[in-house]
Amino acid sequence: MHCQRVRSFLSAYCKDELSEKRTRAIAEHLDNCPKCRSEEQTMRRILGAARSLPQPQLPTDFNSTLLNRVAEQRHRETRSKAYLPKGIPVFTFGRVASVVATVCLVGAFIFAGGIDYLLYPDNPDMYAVETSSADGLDDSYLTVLPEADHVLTAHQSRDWTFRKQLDRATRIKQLMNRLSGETRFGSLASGTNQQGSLAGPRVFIQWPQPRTQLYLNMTAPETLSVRGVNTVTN
Amino acid sequence: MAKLTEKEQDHILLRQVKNGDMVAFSKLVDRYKERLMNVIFRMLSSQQEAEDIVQETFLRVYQHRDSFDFKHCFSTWIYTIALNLARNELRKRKRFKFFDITDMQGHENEISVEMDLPSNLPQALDKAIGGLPDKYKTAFILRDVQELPYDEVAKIMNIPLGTVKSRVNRARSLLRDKLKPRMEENHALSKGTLLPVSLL
Repeated sequence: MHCQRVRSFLSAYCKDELSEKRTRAIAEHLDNCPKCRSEEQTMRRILGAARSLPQPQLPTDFNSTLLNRVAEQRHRETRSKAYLPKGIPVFTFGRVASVVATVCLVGAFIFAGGIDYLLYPDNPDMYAVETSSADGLDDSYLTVLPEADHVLTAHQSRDWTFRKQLDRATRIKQLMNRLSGETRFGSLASGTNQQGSLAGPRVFIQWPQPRTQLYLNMTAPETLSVRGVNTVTN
Repeated sequence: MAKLTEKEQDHILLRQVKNGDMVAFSKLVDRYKERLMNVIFRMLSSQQEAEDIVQETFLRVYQHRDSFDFKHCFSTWIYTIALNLARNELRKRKRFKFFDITDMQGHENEISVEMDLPSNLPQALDKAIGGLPDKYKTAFILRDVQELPYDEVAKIMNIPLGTVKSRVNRARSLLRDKLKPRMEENHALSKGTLLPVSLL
């Protein structure tokens, strides 16, 4: 065995951690190599010193302090588990508070229309419009979906609670932009005239600046047709 | 009647603790407090923090006494708890590095310890252990200071047996490299400072 290899095993040799065969081989080498023998003695002294390191002292009141802390712990356990049969979970303040906080957060999320928002992410084709309540239309708000050039389909806004948080003026402006082409608007108007239906509740979109009113007829429970646009100039 | 092993004695005491016997708990504390202090103090190099960790360890043992699995060794369990707490403490220290006036005292001690080598070898070794990287330090303390078997050290540190052996071997080599020059120097000095015959 070479010196370098013997030295890599020296600490294990000193602690009797090697196999019998390897121990014998190292012992033979040490008999004939004074340098490795010196290394072995150094290692034995270090490992011997490891067993007699200065022992850190614990304070004399260590046990009493600890037992007091344990007694407090026992007191808490007995108080919280009083009158409860084994196996029933103990509701501590922390647990109850976390459950209440979670319920409140989930409730607020649902109330604010978060689920609708998740189901219907920002869809540019959905616009909320106001309708005139004077004509007996109960639905206060409608969402208008342009389906064809001259017919708009409306259904009751499912996501109004969330949508109202958005900028209404921007959405109405987007709707107006879709209807702004001259040809397109004309066909919308003629479509309405051909049907000749003025019956049903009247719906209008009011755009405050400049004051523009878009008149629509509700020809079927879920269908709106455009009747006309009126721009008021001051 | 055959003498009970350490493991069996621990398990008997722990069963009594589970039944609410505080005297048995006190006996368990007496059996382990110094061993734990020995390990944790060397890992943290702070008496106060080591005391706190040892206290916290026993408190955790009490809190989780019902979850102990009697298939395992109690000593492995308690060492694991203590080492995890000590590791958390070391992690906290890395996050918040404080300037401590005891550091300055430490440097003074270092010089004086080096001057004492090797006549005061245990103290010098203690200091050298403190300078080892954490993973080697833990392995060396558990194996060579606490004299735990390799397989138990592997369970406590949650690493393979071969890794423990190599870490212990590496730690021993590092300590030898650190201490040997001082030991030789001191040996030569002791030879050279023999008093002249005239003074005897």
